[in-house]
Amino acid sequence: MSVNVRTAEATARGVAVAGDRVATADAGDLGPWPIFRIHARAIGMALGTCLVMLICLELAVFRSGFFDSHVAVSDPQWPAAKLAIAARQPNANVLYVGDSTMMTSVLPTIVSRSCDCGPGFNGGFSASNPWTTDAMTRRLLTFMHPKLVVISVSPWAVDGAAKFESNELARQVMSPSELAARGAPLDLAESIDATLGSLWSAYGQRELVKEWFSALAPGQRYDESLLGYYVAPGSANSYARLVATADRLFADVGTPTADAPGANVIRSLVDDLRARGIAVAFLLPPLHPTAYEEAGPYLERADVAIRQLAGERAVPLIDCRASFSASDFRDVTHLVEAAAERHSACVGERMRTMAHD
Amino acid sequence: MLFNSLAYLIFLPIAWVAFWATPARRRLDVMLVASYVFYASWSIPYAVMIFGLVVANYVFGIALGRATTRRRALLAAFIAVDLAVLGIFKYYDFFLTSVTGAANAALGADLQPPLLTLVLPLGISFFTFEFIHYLVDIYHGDVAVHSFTKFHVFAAFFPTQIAGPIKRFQQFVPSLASIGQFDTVLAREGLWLIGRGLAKKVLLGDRLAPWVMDGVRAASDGAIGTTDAWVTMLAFALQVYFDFSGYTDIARGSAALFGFRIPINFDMPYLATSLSDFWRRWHISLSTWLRDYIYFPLGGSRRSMLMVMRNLFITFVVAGLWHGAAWHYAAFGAIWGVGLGLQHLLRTLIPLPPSRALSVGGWLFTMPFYLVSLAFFRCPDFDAAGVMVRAMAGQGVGAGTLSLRASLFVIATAAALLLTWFASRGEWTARRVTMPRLGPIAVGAAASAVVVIASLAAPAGSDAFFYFQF
Repeated sequence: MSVNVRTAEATARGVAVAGDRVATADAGDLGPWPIFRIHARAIGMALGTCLVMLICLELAVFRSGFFDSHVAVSDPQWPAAKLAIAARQPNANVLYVGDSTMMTSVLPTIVSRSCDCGPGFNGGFSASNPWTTDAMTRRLLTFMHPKLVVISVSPWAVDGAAKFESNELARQVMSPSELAARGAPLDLAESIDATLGSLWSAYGQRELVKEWFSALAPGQRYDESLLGYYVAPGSANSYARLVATADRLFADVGTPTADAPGANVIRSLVDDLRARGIAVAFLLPPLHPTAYEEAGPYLERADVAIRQLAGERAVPLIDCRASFSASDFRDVTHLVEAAAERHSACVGERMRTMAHD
Repeated sequence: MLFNSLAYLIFLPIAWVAFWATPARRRLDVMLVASYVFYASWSIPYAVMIFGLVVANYVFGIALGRATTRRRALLAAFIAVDLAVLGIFKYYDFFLTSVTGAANAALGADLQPPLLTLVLPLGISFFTFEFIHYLVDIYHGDVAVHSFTKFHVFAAFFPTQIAGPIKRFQQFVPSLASIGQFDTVLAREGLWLIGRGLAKKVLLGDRLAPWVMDGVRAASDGAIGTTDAWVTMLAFALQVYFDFSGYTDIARGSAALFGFRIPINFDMPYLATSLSDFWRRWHISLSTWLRDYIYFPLGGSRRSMLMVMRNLFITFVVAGLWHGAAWHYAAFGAIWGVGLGLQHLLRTLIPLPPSRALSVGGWLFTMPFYLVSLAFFRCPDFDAAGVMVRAMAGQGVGAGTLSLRASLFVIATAAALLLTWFASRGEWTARRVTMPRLGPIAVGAAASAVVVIASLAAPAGSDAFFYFQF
């Protein structure tokens, strides 16, 4: 029996069959129910099939680990994508974390060659801040066992005005309880959403599934041999754009200090990593000279704050900034690939020296 | 509540079951409850305000229908009330900021305007235009809706309350009489429209959005390459079409599930062969509203050439400002007003018989015109729009804002859309959906596919429909 009834004839037949049982409806007004009643068996079969297929999908694709082991991404700049790639690199000895300055300036393969310190993975992602960097590091450490974690500390990380914001990025790396601990508990709708997402993975992991679809298009898949390193193609280094971007980056900033809320988060992360027996280093990311022209005093104060933070916890600093000029940058904060390779080699050298010291 | 949200996925079936499980005489009440739940899920105070506006306009309509003297004054007063509400929420801060800014510039003063900074009620522009249509048509002799419930459903109908299409009560209210009839074909068409709308929004519109943002950000930062500027505006043209027509599809599909037919809003707009043809195809319910309630009252095209051009200009500046309280929206409208005025002038001075060559030439002019005008629509201010337009004129600076693959994706999407439309000319809007007969197992499999697609379609972050802001 078909569940589709198209003709008025069929509807009329339904009305006739179910007429006696429809006591509440107005005359000639039966809605869709007669159709449902006469096709109850077929509808039941359809619903059963639907349910079985959804359960099979959940078990076979998501719960079996198939999705985790096969998911590909086209854009590794956001945390969930980065975590998906990282899941296939559990043997990394060195973990690099931070914001996009880390993601675009360190090629783990080149660093590993220079420092002879084993495989690495770049877990930096766009627009990260100390809170999300902390959360990402903790998530990565659930399946990675690095000997060294290199944290990129951008000037904004020690900004006195920076504070935790519960945004989409934060929700990708932080559990509801972690968000609540940061003072941003989920409301009822968000809690329902999170619960449903944990039960039904096609919903919970929808952004990653869509990312996978994007990666299926020819030439779109991210090359995972780059181990998390990524720089967006093209350049945005005309003078007007550099100045405009720098102005935007340094608008509404506070005063950099080693006691800034973000600095405290990094301090706590360092302590926790050390408690786990993992060595820690800070990386000072290179910035375009325009940034220094537009916000020189601010960057100098940030430098002092970062050094103070590093000194207080005896964290070694990796600083390769001196060897880069304007032509090495894609934009205000990100290196072009050739410069990133040089930067990575320099970082590797510094790490080798650190190991010998 | 977004159409592509989990909340709507839960809300719609509940509303549907409640609606059809209720006797026909009470179904309008169910629809009203559903409509207010839908609106109040965003803001309860504003839902109360919308109720107040509905009551006021119902009373206005009855009063206007009964009045025998001073009808014109009454109409003006009633419309003024509606426009005042819209003005306070949407235009007050804009007006005051503009006036104060001009005064400060002229006098060298530093006056601070007392801004209200109110949140714009969702759909207020659509509500207001429907109320004005209702009052004006009663003034012109149509009979007012005496059933408060029917008027209420017309005004607050949840599928169209946030972003249209702008309905006409002459078509909508009579259809309420046949609300007891469940139309299987219409319901199936509704499901198809909802699926198509979600696919447009999620698979196409949302995919294009990041590239549009990159391009607009580059223009706001002061530099964008020529190719990047054109691709950005092409991407935006596609995004806004897929987003808004996707929304309209879902609105029409949702309405169809409850037995309501809502008019189409788009008719292959990017095949338009002239500027005027474009507005016959794009956001049809708005453009016909503007025609009937602004352009015609101003005199339409039955005036001198200069007056017609003036009428077009005023109509489209209003259209621009309807989209947003900012001068760049007014500029968008003004560009179209001037363009349509010049087109009218040319057609009068050099009348040409319709031909294929004229159509092709018209299309080749209309589309670049539209893309350039979109720079004023999408960019946040005149500076950014100026950078974008200069870049489109060949004065671009730099390159690489958009990757080659992004550019190719945008161009391929545009080509695919045009080819699809071109291949189905004349059938696209008229064709009814015909689906093959499926057995229960196949239906169950299809239903599971729909659940998966709906799950994937749910928004993350700020994937709101573009036209909600208007």
